[in-house]
Amino acid sequence: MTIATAVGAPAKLNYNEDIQPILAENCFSCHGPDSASRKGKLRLDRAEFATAKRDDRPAITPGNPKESAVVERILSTDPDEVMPPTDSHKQLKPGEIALLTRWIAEGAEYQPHWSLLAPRRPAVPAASAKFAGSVPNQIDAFVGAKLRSTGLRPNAVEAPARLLRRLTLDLTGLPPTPTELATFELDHSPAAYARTVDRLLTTAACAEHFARHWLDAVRYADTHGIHIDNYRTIWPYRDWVIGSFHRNLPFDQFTIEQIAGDLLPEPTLDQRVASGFNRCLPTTSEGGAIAAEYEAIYAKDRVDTLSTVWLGLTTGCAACHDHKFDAVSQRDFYALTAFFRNNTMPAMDGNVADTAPNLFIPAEEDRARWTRLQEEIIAARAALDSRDRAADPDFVQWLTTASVLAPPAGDRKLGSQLPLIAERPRAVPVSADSSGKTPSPSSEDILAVDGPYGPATLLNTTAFEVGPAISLLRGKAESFAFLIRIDGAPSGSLLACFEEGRKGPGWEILIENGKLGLHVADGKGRVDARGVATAALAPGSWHHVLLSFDAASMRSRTIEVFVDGKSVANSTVSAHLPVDIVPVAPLRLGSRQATPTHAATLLTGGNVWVQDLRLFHRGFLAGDIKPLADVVDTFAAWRSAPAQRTAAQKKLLRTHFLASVDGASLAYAKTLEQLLTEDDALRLRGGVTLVMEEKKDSEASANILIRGEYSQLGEKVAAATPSALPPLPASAPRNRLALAQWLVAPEHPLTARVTVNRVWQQFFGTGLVESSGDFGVTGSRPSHPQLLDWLAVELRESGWDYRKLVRLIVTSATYRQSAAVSADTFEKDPANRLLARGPRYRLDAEQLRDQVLAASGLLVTKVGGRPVRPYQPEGVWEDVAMKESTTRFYRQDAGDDLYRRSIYTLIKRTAPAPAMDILNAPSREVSCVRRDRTNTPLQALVTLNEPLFVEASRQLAARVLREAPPAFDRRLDAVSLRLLGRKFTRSERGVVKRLHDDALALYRREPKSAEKLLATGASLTDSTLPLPDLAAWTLVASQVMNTDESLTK
Amino acid sequence: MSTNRYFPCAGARALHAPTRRDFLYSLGASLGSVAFSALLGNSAHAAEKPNPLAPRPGHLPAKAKNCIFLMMEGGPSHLDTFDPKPMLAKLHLQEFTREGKQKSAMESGKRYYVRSPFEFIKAGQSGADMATNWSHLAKVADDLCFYRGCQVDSVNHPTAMYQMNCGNRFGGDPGLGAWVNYGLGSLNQDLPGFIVLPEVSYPQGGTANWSNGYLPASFQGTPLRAKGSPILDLAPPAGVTPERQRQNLDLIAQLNATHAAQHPGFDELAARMDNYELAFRMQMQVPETLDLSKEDEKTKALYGIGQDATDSFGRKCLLARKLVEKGVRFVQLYNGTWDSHDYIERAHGNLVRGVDQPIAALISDLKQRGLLDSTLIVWCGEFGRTPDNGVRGGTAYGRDHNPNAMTMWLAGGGVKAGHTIGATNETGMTAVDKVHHVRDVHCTLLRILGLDDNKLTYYHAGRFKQLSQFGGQVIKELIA
Repeated sequence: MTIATAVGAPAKLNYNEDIQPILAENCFSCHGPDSASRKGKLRLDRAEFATAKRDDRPAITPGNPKESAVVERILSTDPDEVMPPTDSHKQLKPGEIALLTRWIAEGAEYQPHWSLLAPRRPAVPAASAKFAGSVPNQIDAFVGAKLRSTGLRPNAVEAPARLLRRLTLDLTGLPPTPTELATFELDHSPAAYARTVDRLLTTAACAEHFARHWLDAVRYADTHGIHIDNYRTIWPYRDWVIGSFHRNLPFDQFTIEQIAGDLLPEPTLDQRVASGFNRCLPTTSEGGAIAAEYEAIYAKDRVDTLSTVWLGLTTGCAACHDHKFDAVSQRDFYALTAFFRNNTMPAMDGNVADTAPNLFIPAEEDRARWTRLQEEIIAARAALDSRDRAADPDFVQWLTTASVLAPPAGDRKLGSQLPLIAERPRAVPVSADSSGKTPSPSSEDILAVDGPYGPATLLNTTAFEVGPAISLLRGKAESFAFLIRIDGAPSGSLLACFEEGRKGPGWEILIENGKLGLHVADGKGRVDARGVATAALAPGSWHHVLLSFDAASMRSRTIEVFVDGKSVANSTVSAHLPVDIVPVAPLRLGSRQATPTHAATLLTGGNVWVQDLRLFHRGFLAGDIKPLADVVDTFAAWRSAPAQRTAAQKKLLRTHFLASVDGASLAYAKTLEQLLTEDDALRLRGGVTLVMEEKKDSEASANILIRGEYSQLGEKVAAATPSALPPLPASAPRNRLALAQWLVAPEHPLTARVTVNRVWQQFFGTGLVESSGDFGVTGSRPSHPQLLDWLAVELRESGWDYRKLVRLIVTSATYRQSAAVSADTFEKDPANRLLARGPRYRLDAEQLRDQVLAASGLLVTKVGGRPVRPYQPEGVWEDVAMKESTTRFYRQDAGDDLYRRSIYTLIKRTAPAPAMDILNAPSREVSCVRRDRTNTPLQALVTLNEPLFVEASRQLAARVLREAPPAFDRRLDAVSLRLLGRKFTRSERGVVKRLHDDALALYRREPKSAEKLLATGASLTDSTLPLPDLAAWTLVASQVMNTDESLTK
Repeated sequence: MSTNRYFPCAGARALHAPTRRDFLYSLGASLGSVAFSALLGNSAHAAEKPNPLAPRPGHLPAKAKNCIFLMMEGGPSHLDTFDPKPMLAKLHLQEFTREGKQKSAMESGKRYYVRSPFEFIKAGQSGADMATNWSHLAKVADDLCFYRGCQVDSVNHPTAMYQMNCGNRFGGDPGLGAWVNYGLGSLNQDLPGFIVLPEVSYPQGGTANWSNGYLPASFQGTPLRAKGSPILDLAPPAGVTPERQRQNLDLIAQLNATHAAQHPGFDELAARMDNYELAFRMQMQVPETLDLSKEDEKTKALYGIGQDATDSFGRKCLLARKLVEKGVRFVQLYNGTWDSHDYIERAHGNLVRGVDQPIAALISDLKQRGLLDSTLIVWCGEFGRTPDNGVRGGTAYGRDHNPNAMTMWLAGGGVKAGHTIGATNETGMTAVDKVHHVRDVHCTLLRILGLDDNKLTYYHAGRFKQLSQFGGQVIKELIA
């Protein structure tokens, strides 16, 4: 950074301002805090070492440059002697040498690093450059004083429309509406601007926008990140962040609740959700991964994030060695990790979405009911239990009198049920079944065997249509279960929605030589998967078969066949369906054909009996199936002679009695089902989120890891804060809560500074300290140190009022200046670090997308909820995802969810949305407090050609054609007002009109081209609008969208 | 994905991200700004900015000006390709226990030696050792310089990949291609100077393998997507012809120019205008460059395009030739994964079948076009493989990761073709002759391209950084 310090020599040189930068740049890499790279056993960063006695003479003798070896070595002309050494590529400038010499002559007084000294509120400068057109506040006094000393003059206030656009984009991430622009331009009262600020600050859009910045810092994402990168449900934490900004939660509380919400006394639901901050890190569950290694990685990641976001220190360097530049030792680093190594989170996330510890969060409006409902569910379960305890006499009674089992009552997820009890029961001896003889279907004796619930249906002769086709749709779940018994080795279709020949889309549970199988096809060739179990069903006994299809929850397998509760290896059937399966054929049992003829389409090779076909609107995991599959064993128990029954069999029968027969239990179960149905609905509206939980029985500690290697355990250290910073109160427990409270303690030198700096950066593009994540020795020096300190103290003393801080910044004359700049001023201050002009830079990725959504009217402003999946090019997930990942296939949403604000887009860490990535949205793999802001051709391609941008242009065109007066100029105004916040000038209009007229003529000649252009995007447009006009205006809107003025704030 | 968060001193990449100031200069004076200079009220800024992609001389005379880097991700086995070990036939299935540092994290330590299932020949006049299944490459054996002395630090894929590609096993540093473009600029202003042709699945370590790291973003590797449009949103919307798009861009340019005339200091504006022009030129040039259909059938057959086994890598190799022909400085091709822990005969057999003909075709095609002398070709993995395996018996023999021995080969400009440099011990477990850390290989590659690793530095996070991290030495034996 090359900002001249104040003109004129100060009375006495100041170490932090004048000397330290020179030493840090040129000397500390060999003569700094890091003992490993230190040369000549010399340290120049601390007075006691620099002035210590050495063989020859001290490196620095205060007050005596001539007796200081440093000076001699710097001035040496001998290439072997001169410092810095020639091979370091470093060279001191004459001015720097003069400063060093003078400082030594003046006594060589050292100071601690500037950012480690607690900020004190400096006096507001009296002499300041004048800001024209707006009322200055304290910020302007500091900025103006510096401008005055450098001879630059501040710009005048920005034109109202432009200013409102800047302000609205900065506070809400969205552009102002034409109405808001008109109102603002008309209101000349001095209070109008402040009123607008206050209005914008309380909007939900503002909370969303601020939250998005914060989510970069805490590396929020919706997948685990490492290895198979499965979905993770932690969006309630994201919504908590939005809510906190919306209610302006003081920043100290915001800090404490996130770092240690779970450790607060009797934490509220919200505070526990906030502790999900600790769960935002990428995690793994890779087979073979070593838990100890990942625990070390997680702890380091958490400390890195904490350090970057609150301390502004790059403590990570100290994981392997003492920090080369900053006063953070390896011990300090591991003592910090200790705070994060005493919790119950497992090292392996299990590849599940809701890795414990987790918490279900009802929707805001459901909270009261949900709490009561849980009590009611507990009561209903207790009633069932007490009936259970009293049911023995009735059970014994039933056991002696009943002639048949009863099909279990359906639960709330049961769609429909077909008992399949044969009409003409005629039992055959059990022993004859396993003879393997194939009975003749034409035989007059229809073979019927006893099923659990009565005579079973012989499928060989009774194929029929069960109902309409059932589709397997993404986002839905369907399951099919039935009981089956075979003899011989039958082959054929059991249950299917498939045309004969299986050419079209469909699915089928089939049997092939007694082995169960599954066939799924989309009819277009993308999916055509068939798999058959390795083992045949044992003939002569009953089996429970279940096909589970579940594309509603994030699971590692979408489609799976179970026999007797165990997954049948169907390795050729894809675990995930990338497309919907929408069969045409109805659901049929026993044959694929509409009117089965015995010869070709019925089961052959053996008999098949079925019973109790059930269709569920849910998916099953192996564990869920057991109660259903138990019927096979229950039936065997039932048929055993009472005296022979084992205890387990008796238990099965008792369970059956309670679940299917006992009137009292059934009544209680019905009540419970009703409550659970309600619970399901509430759970759907709410969500599970990951939270933090401390181990209760151990103290926070960690081992120093030698060279950062997890397996090289060094000394054990207790949780502690870095020694160069104020200590924890002696009475404080050594846990995350104490750490969080320490961060926001009044004497803490860093948190407030780092925070105000990041907020400043959010509005000016660059922080007062440019390296907003590094306030250490190698970080940048503040451009306005006193302003930084004043703001830091102001934030703290305002009760950490975040909104007040923002208000202070955006109401400053500094912020309100015009962004215009003369070539001369640009030359003097190209990066605008002196702030003689207003901020102007390209909008962030999310702002660019949200701006066109808003301008076109497509934007859906719903706040919060599950992450959404807008347009994305094909294959982005699929190409990088591992086969078993739950985020392998991108399932694009439909309707409103395509047009939500970008903060709600599902973030898969290993495959970021390409357009956002190109526009520098971070992948959220590590904490990011300062984004890249590149300017590349790939970005131009996105905003020119990306379907969402083209669709938004079409909708903006339609909006204009519909709403604006028909004159060209009026329509163009409507476009430019929504994108640029201003009307075009006459000459600009002329340029646009030529393009418009050209395009209109073209699209009139070639209506097909117009149709093609207008077909981009899922949303519909008013069909009454003339296509050539709509197409021409779509182009106009797209071009205005792509001007620098639109892409820039 | 980038895994740099695991590691200190690299985890804060985003924090030290280049600022917009770096990008001001990223694509300074190209055709666009010349075209618009008449429209600009004050184009002084744009015209005077140095263009970092402009070609410039290196530090030393270059022996090659382009590089094609064939990255066999997963770690090919030197023992089954180019470094035969008869000793292993004698030791086959002998049990022993590995200890200490040699003990892989994946294994208990109990090991069995495994002989190579492949036969070897002495290929070419130089008599280079090659497994017989490299039947095409054997024909150009005399163009290759085999090197058996390289060692790396890591036994894990992502970290070893980062080290081979970026010099730093922790990730977050610039890739070799970024350094080369930073040093030499680009010979084609219509295409990115560093192009990556990944597999459909990105390699271990993901995009950080071709990162610009702390260098300005214009040096970032541009991956051509293996499926769908090679560059996102490259095609104009349906119903918009190139002529139409040209007019559209002219409109944007005029509006921007008017704006720029009123606001001469809006620094990013000129750069943005350039980028829209480069984007347009890419729309024009990239599809043509990537279109292999215009190549004659003989050429396509040479690369094995159209045959199942070789089609995919054949296309990449042919594309690499075209890109180099167009002046793209650095092209990196990925193939794999070569991570054959078991069934090495089948796994390596299939992999070699996939790349043998295409690579041989690339060398002979470049040669016949007179481009081989100016192109450096590198073939390597991120490490080699072990002579032993933890599984005994059956056909399932495979090999584990080995950081201490590998074979890489170089071809093309400046390379000591027809030689095999360095050697491994009798089991191939470790390099014993001309042993160099991978950083020295990096210095050597830079040297061939005319760059001096010690001068090719970038100031970042408190010190001057370089590809070799802390300096290295050129392996003179590899250079002609």
